[in-house]
Amino acid sequence: MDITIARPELVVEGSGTGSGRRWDIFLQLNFCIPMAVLVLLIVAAAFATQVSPYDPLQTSLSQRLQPPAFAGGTAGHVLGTDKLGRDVLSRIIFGARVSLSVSLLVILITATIGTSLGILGGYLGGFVDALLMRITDISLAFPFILLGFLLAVTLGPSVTTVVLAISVLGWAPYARLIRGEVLKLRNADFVLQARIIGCSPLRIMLTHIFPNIVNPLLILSTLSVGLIILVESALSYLGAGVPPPTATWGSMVSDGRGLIDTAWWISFFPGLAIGMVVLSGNFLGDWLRDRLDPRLRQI
Amino acid sequence: MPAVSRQPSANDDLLKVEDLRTYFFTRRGVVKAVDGVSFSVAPGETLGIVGESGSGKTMTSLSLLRLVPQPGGKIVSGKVLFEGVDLLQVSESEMREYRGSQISMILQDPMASLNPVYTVGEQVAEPLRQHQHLAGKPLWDKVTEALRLLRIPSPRERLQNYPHQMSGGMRQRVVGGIAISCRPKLIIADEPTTALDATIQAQYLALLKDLQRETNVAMIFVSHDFGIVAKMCDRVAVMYAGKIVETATVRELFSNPQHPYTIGLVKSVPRLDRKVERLASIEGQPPALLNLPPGCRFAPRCYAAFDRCRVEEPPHVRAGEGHYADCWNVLYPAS
Repeated sequence: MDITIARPELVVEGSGTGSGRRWDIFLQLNFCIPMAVLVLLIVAAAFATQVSPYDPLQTSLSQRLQPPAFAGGTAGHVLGTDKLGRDVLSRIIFGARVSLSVSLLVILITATIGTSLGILGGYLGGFVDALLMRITDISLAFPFILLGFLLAVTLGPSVTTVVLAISVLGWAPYARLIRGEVLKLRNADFVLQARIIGCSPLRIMLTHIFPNIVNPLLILSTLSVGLIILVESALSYLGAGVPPPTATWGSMVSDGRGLIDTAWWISFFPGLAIGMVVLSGNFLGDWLRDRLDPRLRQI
Repeated sequence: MPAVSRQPSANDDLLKVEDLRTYFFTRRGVVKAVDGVSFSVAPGETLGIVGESGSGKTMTSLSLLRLVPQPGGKIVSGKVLFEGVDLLQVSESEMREYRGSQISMILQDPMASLNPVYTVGEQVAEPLRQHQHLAGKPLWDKVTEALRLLRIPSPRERLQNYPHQMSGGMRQRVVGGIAISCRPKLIIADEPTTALDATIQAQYLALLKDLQRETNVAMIFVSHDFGIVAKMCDRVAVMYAGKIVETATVRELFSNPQHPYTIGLVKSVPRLDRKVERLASIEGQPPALLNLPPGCRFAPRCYAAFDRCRVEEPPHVRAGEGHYADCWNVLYPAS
């Protein structure tokens, strides 16, 4: 008798749709902290003109190489100034615009192209796979910087050029990774099951295979944030990227390289910003992965 | 209309397979996984296909749905007549209309045949969306109905479960629910209980029987277990090395097996009503399908083989009402 009463309660508990649980997942530290960092940076970038204390391009030779406020500098320049007397904090805030939007755009473009080609090659196999993978090999082998130069020369250095230069080759690691995952899934019984109930190849690729490769996709995307910022800075340093004096995190790090002994803050703070974005991306990716995997969701 | 009992005859077969051949073209040569298989299934009937591992049972089932593994596998010739339509001749998109809605299949391993990222409700709903274009309440009513048919307790709540939250037996019931959701006329069950333990196995088989009684679906029941086949099937086809060697009703096959291979199999089943010192076994191994011996494929292991068996393929011999065996010994009982 007791058992028949107990059963419905167990079912309700197991289904886990209570309103209390819904919000729990957002209160975890590995979601809150990285989200706060990213939101702060994005808001600061969006309202850069209102938030930043100085014009990021305004030079002032009398104020050059001021150390940060807490290291003996003045309260006027909280994070110090660079060799032309420009405020480092203001440049980081304005640099976030370029660096974040370039990263986001590049990830969107490369992940979309790479995932599509990877799924197509992995699922269809045969000639399509061979062709796509050879193109991928070529893209992986081609030097980024050379192509960046080529595009900078033909299109002129700009944010668009940087995005294009990184995207044109950047999809290849996605295609390679996703294709491997799909090869593994293609012979899974649940894919055969989808064919048994009459699903078309397109539907199988989109709704039966794709949700199973979201994890590696997320991890690669979040990891590539750092790489993109670095490539962008390398291109800027060589004059093929975003042209100076526009502030980008990458170009700020490379500006300060020669003065690292005497004025460490010029490179350190934009570097710290890059690190924080990359870490936040990775943590959020982990968090999202755990959310998306039903096996981990209930724990 | 006068109540006439339906006699299975040639023209009201639901499925009629004629001389089906599925080969695998590999680097080492042609593997004849299914080599000239013919059988038929009447509406509401259960046909058992038995045979040891590698005898071509699964490839035969997959060939019926045209889902032979690629690359390499190919249906070379034959006919698969489903309600008179040759499924090997229709286009791929027409074939997709048959899959899941007319003919469905239950796979062996319930742990692997459900997609881990979707709830079981979503997965039972998928064929209904594909074929009946349902959505909203009518869709979920049908999904619940399918789960109820498979005796899944509190189906409404279970819809929201993920496969990993269910036991093996429950998952296999869900797979059965997917198969029955569109009310197909034929379900191919490919060793559906191999991955389940003995008690759950018995439950599941009883469930499939009930399901058949309630929906009058025809079934092809693939198994290597003679005991299960005896319980589940009306007729049995015995496969050996890509060929069907004997077909008969269950009763006839067990009481009067004709082919030496079938005789060996029947003898090797342990029985409660007879005391035997040691169960009979069939010596040797089935032949590699890459280079088959000439003549009868069973000849090297056969206790009754004579010269002709080793050179000439055995004929299709009628051994009784609906009972056929491919064996020279059946044709010439004296020898």
